[in-house]
Amino acid sequence: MLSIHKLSKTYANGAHALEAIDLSLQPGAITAIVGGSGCGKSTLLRLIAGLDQASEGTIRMGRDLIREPHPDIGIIFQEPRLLPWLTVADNVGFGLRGRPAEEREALVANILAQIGLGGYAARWPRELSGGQQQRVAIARALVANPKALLLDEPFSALDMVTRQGLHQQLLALWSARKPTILMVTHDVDEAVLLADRIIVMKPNPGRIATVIDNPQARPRDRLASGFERAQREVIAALDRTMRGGEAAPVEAVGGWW
Amino acid sequence: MTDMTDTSRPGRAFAGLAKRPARLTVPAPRLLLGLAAPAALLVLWELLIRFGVVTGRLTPPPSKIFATIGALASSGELATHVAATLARVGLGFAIGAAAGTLAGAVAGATPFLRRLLDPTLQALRAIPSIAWVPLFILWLGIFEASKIALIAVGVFFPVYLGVMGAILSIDRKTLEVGRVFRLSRVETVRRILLPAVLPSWIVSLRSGLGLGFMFVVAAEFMGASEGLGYLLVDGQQLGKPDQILAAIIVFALLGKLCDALLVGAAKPFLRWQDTAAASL
Repeated sequence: MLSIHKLSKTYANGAHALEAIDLSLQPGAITAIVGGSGCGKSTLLRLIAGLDQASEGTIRMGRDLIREPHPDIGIIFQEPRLLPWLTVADNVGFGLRGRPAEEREALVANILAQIGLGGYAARWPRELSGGQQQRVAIARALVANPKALLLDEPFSALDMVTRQGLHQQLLALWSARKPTILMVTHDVDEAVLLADRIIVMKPNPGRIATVIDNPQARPRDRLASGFERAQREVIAALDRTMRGGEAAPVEAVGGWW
Repeated sequence: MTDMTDTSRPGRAFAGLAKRPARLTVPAPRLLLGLAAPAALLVLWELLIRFGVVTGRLTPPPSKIFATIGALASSGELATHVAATLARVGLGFAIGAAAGTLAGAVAGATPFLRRLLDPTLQALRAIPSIAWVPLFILWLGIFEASKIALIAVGVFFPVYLGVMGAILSIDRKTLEVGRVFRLSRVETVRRILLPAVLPSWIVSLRSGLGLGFMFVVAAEFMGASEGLGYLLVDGQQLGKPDQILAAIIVFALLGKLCDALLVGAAKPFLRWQDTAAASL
């Protein structure tokens, strides 16, 4: 599956964004990365997506070394990045080139129905709300059934109600397809709601500070005491990284219950 | 969630999922509104002369100008002049637009070639069009070639600037979508660059076409025996202001017609634009 070994990234201007990241993602699990601004969360995601090159270390998808975008890895960005000259259906099917037209059409129709946009196939992106556009972006990333899906704060620009609706739709799609998900978020609530494992990163340079397992049963209840405990533990870990506290060894970090 | 099902508009690749027919006609009220201002001006002009407010010796009334246009049309003279002008503009526009598009694409997509070519082209752009006339006559002779070359030069620069600027302003994030889906260079050009550049290209072609009509007048001033520019010169030399104004009006109509044809041809490809209805 997706594994990262001794990954470092230093930009041409000398900025040291990431240092010696080691990470192995469990197949079919959701992992969230949280951390303050500038701790290299998005850089890590871009490296895994093959959009940037690491200075040191390796990323592997199965046996494949990731140096460029890989067909088994999808990514959803903070903004939907839909192509405005394509309809919703054409945007969703953008990555399905090379497949027979009938298969493409069926796949697109199927996933549009799953995200509740079955009647929007012919619309232009400009005719959709921000939440609908992000749903189309999710559909575009998932329609080819990638084994891994990267999410770079995809819900951060949306209002709370829309965000919560998208959480449920993402979980429904994940349950049906079980891709390995690695998501970056600033929202502790979102991380605890969605993730099986939460990685807390610290800055200068970006490193893994703590890894927190989150084995709560699904569907998760925000009002449950376990949910609140998990939130407090993540917030406490974030506080420690802000105060410059030492990173706990990954092996030493367990659950909180 | 409200599901606003709309099955009347097709996507391009996914025709089976939806249908979206093109609408190319201009609504009648909008057309009439566009004619209102020139019509009012013509009526006012006619009335001022009829009621003796102005003499109309050097500014003949619209009725006389349209009579002149009618006479030129019925004699077949107008068609000859219009055809000559349109042929020159058409050929000069085709050459200038093709060269401008190619040079703009090359300069926009290749930093090395941009640094090599752009300073020279920008310097050439600053040269007044009329300055080329003696040189083109010397190089290409007094007949058609020099006229078409002058028009092509006029069309070239706005198209070159428009295409280069459009390529340089493509959002990096949009290009990254192509990278995520592992598009080849050719696919990236076809599926991302071309559609992204298209609106600016159409705008630059419209500017180029407008300049083409401007330059054809200068071109037809230099020794033409037919064309609307020739009609202007002929009207001036023979003291026929109605002929000059008739030529100007025909120029305006032709320019508007050609622009409308260009916009109409581009419209089906720009339906996705948020601003298409307002700007086109």
